[in-house]
Amino acid sequence: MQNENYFKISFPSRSVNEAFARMTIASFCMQFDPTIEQLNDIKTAVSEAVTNCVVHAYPDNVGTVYITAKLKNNILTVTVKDKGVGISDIQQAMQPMFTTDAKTERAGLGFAVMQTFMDKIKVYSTVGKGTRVVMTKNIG
Amino acid sequence: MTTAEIIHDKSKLTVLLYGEIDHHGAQSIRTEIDSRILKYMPKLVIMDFSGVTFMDSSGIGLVLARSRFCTDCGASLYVENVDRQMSKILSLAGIKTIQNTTN
Ligand SMILES: Nc1ncnc2c1ncn2[C@@H]1O[C@H](COP(=O)(O)OP(=O)(O)O)[C@@H](O)[C@H]1O
Ligand SMILES: [Mg+2]
Repeated sequence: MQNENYFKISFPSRSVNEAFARMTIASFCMQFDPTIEQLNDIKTAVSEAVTNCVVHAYPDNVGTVYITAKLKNNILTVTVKDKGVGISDIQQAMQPMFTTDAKTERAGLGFAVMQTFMDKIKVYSTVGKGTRVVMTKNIG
Repeated sequence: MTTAEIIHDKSKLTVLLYGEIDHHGAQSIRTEIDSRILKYMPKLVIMDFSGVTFMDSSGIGLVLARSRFCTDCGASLYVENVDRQMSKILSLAGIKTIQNTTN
């Protein structure tokens, strides 16, 4: 029980909040004594998921980004959610180098980074309703 | 916050990057780097990541786009002093880097 904890936050999809989200997840994880590498992996994955909300979920307006994180039995579960445009083909979206935003300097590797740096990732999305990215990592 | 210190020396342009490179920060430095490349037309551009404390896939976009821009301008681009985490990210895009100091 002592080693269980969670938090929930929401914030506007402004790009300054990408750093805020990273710092918040890092502070939460600190109490469980992760390695520097694990901490960096988690920060990077959360940064990618939040950036996707800022850039893709709410392309023309500012919406709300929701993060919940939970640690239980040494497993960290982070959920990053938006109520934005949604993804029509999740499999295609997760393919390395796929991006719908070729105009700016997106590399299409955000999901690849999340997959590399976390143990598991699941993406749920409904067009017009929004997207939920659930990632887990063992930090025991 | 991301900042870039740009040093021009003959045909070489060194871009010393500092801070955290994410989508927010990358936006603020890319035009500055490109305008210096255009101004000095170097043969060699070095992006030095030794002052970078965090990077996500926005760093890939930043490097790839500068690489294309350098090619268009007749320059070679080298990426130096990335740590293990950053090289893990850059290698996802097949970007090779140079480790040339003792850090
Ligand atoms: N939260 C989201 N809402 C809507 N579309 C998304 C979201 N996250 C990802 N996508 C879609 O998936 C694609 C791939 O995402 P990603 O791998 O992070 O690459 P990038 O952000 O560089 O385009 C995006 O280009 C976008 O079309
Ligand atoms: Mg992305």
